[in-house]
Amino acid sequence: MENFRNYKREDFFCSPFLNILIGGNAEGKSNFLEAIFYLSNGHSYRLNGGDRVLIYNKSNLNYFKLYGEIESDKGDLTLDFRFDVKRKKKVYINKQEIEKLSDIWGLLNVVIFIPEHLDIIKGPPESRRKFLDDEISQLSKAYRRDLYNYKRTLGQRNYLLKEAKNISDQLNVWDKQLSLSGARIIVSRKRFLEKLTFEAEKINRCITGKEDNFEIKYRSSIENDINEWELPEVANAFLFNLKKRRKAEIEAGVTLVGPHRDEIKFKLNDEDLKIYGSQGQQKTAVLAAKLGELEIYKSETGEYPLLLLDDIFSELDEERQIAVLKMIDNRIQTFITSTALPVSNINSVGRKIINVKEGTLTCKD
Amino acid sequence: MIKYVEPVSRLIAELNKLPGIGPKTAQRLAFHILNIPADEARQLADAINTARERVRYCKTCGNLTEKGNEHCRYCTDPSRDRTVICVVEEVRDAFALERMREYKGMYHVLHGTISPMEGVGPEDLTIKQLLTRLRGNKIKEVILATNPDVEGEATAMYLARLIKTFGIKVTRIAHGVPVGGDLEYADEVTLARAIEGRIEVS
Repeated sequence: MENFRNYKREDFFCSPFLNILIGGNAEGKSNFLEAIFYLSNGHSYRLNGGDRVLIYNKSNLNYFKLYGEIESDKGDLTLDFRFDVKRKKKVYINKQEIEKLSDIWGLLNVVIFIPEHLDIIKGPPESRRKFLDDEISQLSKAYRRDLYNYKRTLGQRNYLLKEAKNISDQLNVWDKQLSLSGARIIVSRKRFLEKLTFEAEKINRCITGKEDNFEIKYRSSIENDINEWELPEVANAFLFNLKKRRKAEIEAGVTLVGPHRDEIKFKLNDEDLKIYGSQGQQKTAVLAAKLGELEIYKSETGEYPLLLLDDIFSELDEERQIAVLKMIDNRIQTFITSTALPVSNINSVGRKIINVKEGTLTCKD
Repeated sequence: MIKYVEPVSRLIAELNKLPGIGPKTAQRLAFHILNIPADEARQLADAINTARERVRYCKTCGNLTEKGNEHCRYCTDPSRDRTVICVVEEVRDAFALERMREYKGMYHVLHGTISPMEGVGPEDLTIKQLLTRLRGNKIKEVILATNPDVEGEATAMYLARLIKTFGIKVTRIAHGVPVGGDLEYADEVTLARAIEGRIEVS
């Protein structure tokens, strides 16, 4: 890291297993995780755009650099980002400059867990859709493209609906386009949640020690008309719904059905955790989902992603902390930030405890 | 705020209206123009004027033509196949297709795509003119070569529905792996499209 957030210049060799970053508030723990996330995605998870604010603010320099060396079963890799206020962002993979930022997607996968995620179940449906979209996008460039196309088409169609003058011939075209990209999104989400449920149910049982049935269910706004969750059928059901609601949609001036209105339900023994779940049950459910993702990455890409736990550990009780540690122990490269040592007796092999103070990292042992 | 003398700020303001030219670049270009020999500056102004004055759109297909010629060189070339029309978004797309020297049919330039967000509807494009051409009953095939993005696809679909009512064959350009490219390096979205649009080997 060079001139990144509150790091002037810092090199660090990470443990291939557990890395625990300890330090007070605003010393730079989260900034370190942010740097790793940036290497993975080419942007920060804490802000939208505006790379400028990532520059070390105590210097009068106007650039930052991030450089990462990654060892992987698929071959070693270096990732290199250079942001300069005057010039564009430059990105290098294995020292070769690349033109499209999208080329880095999928090279270094991370699963990140931050305190806001604990509200996924309680929060509005958008937060659950965003959670799902972020995860599938990281696994599939095609999904990212579908999502982009869908949002763009939706924007065009809503614009048309608002104007509402002799639009039926044009609307037919946008309906068709929307149903095609929309169906791809619905089917991808449905399949992803089926896999996630399979993994998360096991983990949920592991944490609680109870044989509960746990399910993360996709509830589509058009599912009553879907008999088979295959692309052509879903696209037809979507198209049918758009036709059925055309009058209402012209009146409302917006598209009323589709992936942008679909719901994701967390269910424990068939009951909706949003309504009936206790705080603790909700937290465990999100934790199980996040940890379940690790297994999906493993099966889709052949490798575990990095796990970033930003400020989350202290939010979990000791039982859940131990469950997480057991799950990742000696298998998954993990970065945990905490103001104090999370559990007194972390004695896993190969762990590194790192003190973070005013933008410097020192290893404790 | 300190302002330049009027002619300079006017020049900057005009340059700033051009696509891709921000205030800073406009300023740089303006001072460049002020520093070049007067002759060169006059040539630039003259080139802009002449281009505006002499260039027209072809009455039939919407391509560029020079003043005095109602039709472009493609529409007036007797060796071209008049039974096929290739529909493109912009003049530069027709130009790109022409570079491959394989296509010998006619063109039709839409001058845009349907985009409700930007207030562009079918009536703002040259669709009426296209339909007039189809009524001439000589056309056997219309190739839709709009871009493979959201608006390009929607426009292609809109046109396909209209053209089919004439009983004319409508085709869409293929999407997929670039020729000479390595399959291994094609991104997964492109590959998926290529598989979708696969053709039988005869």
